[in-house]
Amino acid sequence: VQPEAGTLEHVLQAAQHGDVAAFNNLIQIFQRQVFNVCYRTLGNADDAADAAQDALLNAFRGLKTFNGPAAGLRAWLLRVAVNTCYDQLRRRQRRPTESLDALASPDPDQQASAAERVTDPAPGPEEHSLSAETALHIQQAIDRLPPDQRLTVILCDVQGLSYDEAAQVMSVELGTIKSRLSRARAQLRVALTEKGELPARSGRLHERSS
Amino acid sequence: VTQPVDHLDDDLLSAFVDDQLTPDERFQVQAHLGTCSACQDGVDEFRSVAALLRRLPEVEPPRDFSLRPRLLVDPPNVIRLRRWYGVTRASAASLAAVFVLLSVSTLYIDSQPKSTGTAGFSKPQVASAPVTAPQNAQPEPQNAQPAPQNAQPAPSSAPVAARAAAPAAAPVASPAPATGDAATRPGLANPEPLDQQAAAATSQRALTTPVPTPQPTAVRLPFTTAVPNATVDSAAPLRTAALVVGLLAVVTLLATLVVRHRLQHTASHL
Repeated sequence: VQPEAGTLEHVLQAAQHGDVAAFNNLIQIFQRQVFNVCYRTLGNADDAADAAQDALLNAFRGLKTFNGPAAGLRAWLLRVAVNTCYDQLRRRQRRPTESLDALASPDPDQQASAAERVTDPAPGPEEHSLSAETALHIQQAIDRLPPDQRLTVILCDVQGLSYDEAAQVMSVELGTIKSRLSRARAQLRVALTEKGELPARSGRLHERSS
Repeated sequence: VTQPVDHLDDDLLSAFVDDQLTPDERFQVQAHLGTCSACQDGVDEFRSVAALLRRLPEVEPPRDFSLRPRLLVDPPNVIRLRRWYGVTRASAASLAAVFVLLSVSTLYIDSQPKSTGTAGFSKPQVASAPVTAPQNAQPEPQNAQPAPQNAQPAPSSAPVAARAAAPAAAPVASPAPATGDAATRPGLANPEPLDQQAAAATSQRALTTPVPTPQPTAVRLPFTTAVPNATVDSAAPLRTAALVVGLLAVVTLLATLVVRHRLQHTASHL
């Protein structure tokens, strides 16, 4: 899907001059990742679709402010998406009843089916795809992270971005990415161990010492 | 295996998993891990979490996010906000204009009687005529038959002298009302107490009127008594309307500011 660098540069220039068709070509390349970042950050497909659409629209409007090489476009687009997600999360905080309800009384059936619906269409060529239940547990654990840690772990571990690129996306120092990521992972380990998705530490220590 | 007291920082272990350390750092961590099982466990745990997260499936977007022309014009919520902004701003402006208009006309009416003194002369008289007329009219029909000459000056004095004429006319008319009062009050036959009664009546009337001195000339009195009444009657609704419109203008102005704030917030994420 990725066009060669020269072509991408041309498409980007056209889009920067207001060519919607050119920008739609860029959307075809990046929309999947933009949506997935939004989905993992916001925790549901509806909000994620709204955020992704908003982000891409805002990206088109502000495309002239992007003056780097086309190679940095992904990080820039993801940054717009991340900012849109932050706005969305802030809006949720302002009227906490909805999100708190969703958190406090999770309807397991509904969420499980939502997770299944989401995982089923993309079975993944991977050797071992996660069960819907495990995917749900991971998402729930991610949802409980503070926004900064949540986005960092989504970008680095779920999306597989390098620390450098994640730092660009989040507009922070490399060291900040490192510390946020380690804290997020530590917290996720506790949550996922509780859910039985990861082996307990003491057990492993016991195995090792015996 | 001996356990070193100083364990490695979590950030180092976590970054070691991703091979994101400088060569020096990596060497330091590798050397430490060989002697510290706790830190090795830490690395394993970070690695297992990261591996689990990496296995989270990619989600298929529910739709294509290509920008359609309709979307490009403005997102629906921005269109709605823009429309609201136009409506609230226009109504705030027009309400403010109406408020100014009403305020100015209220002030104008307040100042009008002083400038147009002669023009207002006939008006207060009409206004005060009903007040004095019944008082004059009641004795008049009774006076009309026994004293026709008394009835003639009465109509002329009523419109012109109006209210002020009453105290002045009371002593003059006292002989004539004497018979009338005698007729209405059969118990009192003596003319002397009747005079006192009439005087008492006039003094009572003088007390009830807002004017403290019944002495002043007939021309002045109607003004001082009638003009304030006329002003209040005509300007009060205007003043109320100005107040209401002014409040509405403030409310719509606040609404405009709120809508504008939201519009700015939604229209620019960057």
